[in-house]
Amino acid sequence: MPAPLLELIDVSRHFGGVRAVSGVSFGVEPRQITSLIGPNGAGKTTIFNLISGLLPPTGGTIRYQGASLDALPPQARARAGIGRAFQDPRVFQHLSALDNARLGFPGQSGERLAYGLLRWKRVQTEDRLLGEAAEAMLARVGLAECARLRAGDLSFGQQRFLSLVRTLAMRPRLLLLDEPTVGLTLEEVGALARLLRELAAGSQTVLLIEHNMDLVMEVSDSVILLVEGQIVAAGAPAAVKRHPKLMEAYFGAGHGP
Amino acid sequence: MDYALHLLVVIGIYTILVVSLNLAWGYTGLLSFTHAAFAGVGAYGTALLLMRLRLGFVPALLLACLLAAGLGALLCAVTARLGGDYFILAVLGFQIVATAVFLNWVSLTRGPFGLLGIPKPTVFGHAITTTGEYLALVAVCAGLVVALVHRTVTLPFGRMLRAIHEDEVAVLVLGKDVARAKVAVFALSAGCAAVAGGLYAHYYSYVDPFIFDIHESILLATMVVVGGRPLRGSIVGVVVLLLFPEALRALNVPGEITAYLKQLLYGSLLFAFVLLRPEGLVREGSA
Repeated sequence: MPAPLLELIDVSRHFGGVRAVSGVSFGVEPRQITSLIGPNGAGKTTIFNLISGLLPPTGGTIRYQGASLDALPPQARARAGIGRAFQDPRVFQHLSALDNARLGFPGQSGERLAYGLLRWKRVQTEDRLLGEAAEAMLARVGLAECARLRAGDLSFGQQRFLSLVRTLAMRPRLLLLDEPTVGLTLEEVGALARLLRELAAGSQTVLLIEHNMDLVMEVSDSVILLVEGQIVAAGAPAAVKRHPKLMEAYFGAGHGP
Repeated sequence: MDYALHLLVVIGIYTILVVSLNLAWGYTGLLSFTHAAFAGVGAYGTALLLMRLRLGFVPALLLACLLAAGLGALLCAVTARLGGDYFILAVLGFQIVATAVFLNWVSLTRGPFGLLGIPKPTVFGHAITTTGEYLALVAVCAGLVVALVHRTVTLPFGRMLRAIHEDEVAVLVLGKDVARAKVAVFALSAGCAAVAGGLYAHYYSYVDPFIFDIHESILLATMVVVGGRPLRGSIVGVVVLLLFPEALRALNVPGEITAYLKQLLYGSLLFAFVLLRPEGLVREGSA
């Protein structure tokens, strides 16, 4: 069995007296889709904030590629290959869709002011090439026609796909997707499922937060059920689907089998 | 004719200042009520280096700009991690400290009496004496600053600045060094503002601490608001706010009333634009 790409070891995050995440331990295997499910308030997004470095843990440690992430700020974690798409698409509304996508590419020399000013021509060439790559990625999710439009003028679903493109442009080793189907039409959910399947076939490691159980059960290699900040079930999708805690977690006590 | 040239010189100097502030605030979201202080560093720095150390105008101006850029970088490095409101307050503190230094470091700045008799500049062996020659110098400097800022905002770096303005956290999780970008842009912005200060000091042959105080910083911010984010907007903001007192003069409004009316108008314009047209006179559409 390969070593996990990401490993949470006894991780907790408390907000005053509220235990948003409490003693959570799990691993994300490389080239697999791992899903975090659970009712609202279970601590799923808090776990994403802990992994991406936007929140420090109250206790425990998070390891990525065998090394602790604890001392790394968010931008260093992103550069190490942890890409995150938020629940709200958070695209840059005043920039074009193309510029949003271009921003995802790592290591752009034109993002260093002095270099950009001194090597203007070289930076222009590099940026043109990135633009072509970004356009190809936008075309892949059906946004080719929207490349020059302001991101704020796109529909919610288009913004969602744009945010995914921006994150994928980082070429992340680990992709964190936070409820990517929220607000999407049925057709868009289908397109997203296709994209997830393509990513899985391409050996992309994904940690997915999702409420759409059909999608979760279809694409996931393993599923973790989180309730009130604690893991109550984990394993293969079929096993977690049958777990009595699942119905109870979503519909309350008495709804279990 | 000479008065028209004088007005153009003043418009040129303010254009440098407002374009500099626009880079930090309009593009990056670093609202600064301290850019008059950076202009003051440029003004005192250039004048003192020239008068005390006998440096030429160009090296003195460049050194003063570097000093202002260094102070801007330091200020931003210390304060950039603060949230929006606290950043504004912390940077405002620099304006207050700078005015206090200009006013109280008497052995260097002559305090409230200001520096008198600042010599006219000599640029590459050519003495700048007439208003027309000074206009040419200001136009070249303003052109250089506008070109530098335009290039900055059209680089991928500029794209990152706009993104930072909208959603800093979203930029951070893309792996961008937000803090470094802020420090770099604030330093550049402060350095450019110092160019305006240096030109001002040598044009008027005089500086005092009150020229570069908080009121001036608020006026610069008002010009950015009125003009809008595009660089063309900065020039429009400068022209509208500087030519208003001239209109009062044309209407024969007494001078003592003009000063009050000016403040009233500036405040009203700021209020009206923030409420009714926050994007300013020139809407976004180009850099």
